[in-house]
Amino acid sequence: MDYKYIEQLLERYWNCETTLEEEDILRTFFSQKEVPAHLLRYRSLFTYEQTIKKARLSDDFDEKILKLIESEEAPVKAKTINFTQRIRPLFKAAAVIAILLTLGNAAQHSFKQENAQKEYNYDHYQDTYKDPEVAYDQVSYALQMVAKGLNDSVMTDSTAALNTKAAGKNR
Amino acid sequence: MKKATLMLVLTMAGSLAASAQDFASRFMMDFSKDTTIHCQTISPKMMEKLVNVHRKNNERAEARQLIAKLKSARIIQGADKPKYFLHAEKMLKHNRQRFIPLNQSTARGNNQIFVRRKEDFIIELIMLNKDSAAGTFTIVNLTGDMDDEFIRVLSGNK
Repeated sequence: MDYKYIEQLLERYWNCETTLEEEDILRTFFSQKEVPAHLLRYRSLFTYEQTIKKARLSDDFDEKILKLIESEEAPVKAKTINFTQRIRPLFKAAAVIAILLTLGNAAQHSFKQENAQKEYNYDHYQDTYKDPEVAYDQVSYALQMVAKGLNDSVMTDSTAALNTKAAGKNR
Repeated sequence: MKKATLMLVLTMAGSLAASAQDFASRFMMDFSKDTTIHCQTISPKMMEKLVNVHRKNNERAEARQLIAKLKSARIIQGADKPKYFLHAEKMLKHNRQRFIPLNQSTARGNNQIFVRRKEDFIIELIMLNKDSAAGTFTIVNLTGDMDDEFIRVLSGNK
C-alpha cells in the first residue's frame, strides 16, 4: 500500500502548512487499527484527543470513594509526654523572666550609679579594716594628709580658679 | 534570638567588667612583689558605715560632709625609695589627659596632688608625698563625687 499521500501530509503538518481538513484526514488515518510500522510512532500524537475523551470516571466512582472514606476512621494517636517535656514551657518562661529582671536590674543600677561608681569597679576592693572606728581613723588621716598638701602648697591655676568660682557663688 | 540575647548579656557583663581601676590599684599591680609597700583600703561599703558612725557620734558636720562625698580611700605607704615616687609620677604623666595637677608643694618633702574630673566633679584625687626627713612615701587615693566645696573645705578656704 502506498502511503505517500500520508507522508506528504505529515511533512506539511511538521511545516505547519496543513489545513484543518488535512489534519482530520491524518487523525482518521492514525485512528485505524492497522498503521504501517514506520508511521506507528506518530500515532499517539493524533489519537490523544480520542484517548482523553474516552477517559471518564466510572459510574460507581462516587460510591467507591464514599465507602473508602467511611471505612477509614481517623486513628487517634496518644502522645506520651514526660515530666521534663511538660514543664519545659515553664523553664522557658522562667528564663525569659530572669533575663528581663537581669536587664532591668542592670539598667536601674547603671542609672542610679553616681559618677565615680560608673567609672570604677569596686568589686575587687577588700577592706583592710573590719572595725569602722579604725577605718575612720585611716580616712581622717588620708584627709588630713590631703588637707596639709593643699594648705602647704602654692596654689596652682586650677585651685585659684576653684576659689574664684566658689567666691563667685557665695556672692 | 537566643544568640542575640546571649550577646546582649555578655556585652553588658563586659561593659561592667571593663570599668576602670583606680590609680592605687594600678600602682600596686606594678609593685605586687614588693613586700615593703602596703596598701590600705576603705571600700565603698565601709565608707557608708563611716558616714553612719559620724551620725551616731554627732561629730563635726564638716567631716561627715567630706566623707559622704567619698566612695573609697586607699593609702599606700612605704619607705622613701626614689623608685616609688618616680614610678607614680611617671604613671601620672603618662596619663596626663586623665589626671590633671591640682597643686604641688615642697614645704614638707615633695607633695603633688592630681585630680581626675568628670563633669563638675572630681571623681578621683591622688596625692603623692615623699617625705625624706621622715623617710616615708605615701600615696593617698580617694574616689567619689568630690565637688569644689569638698576641696574648699579641705583646704580651709571658707
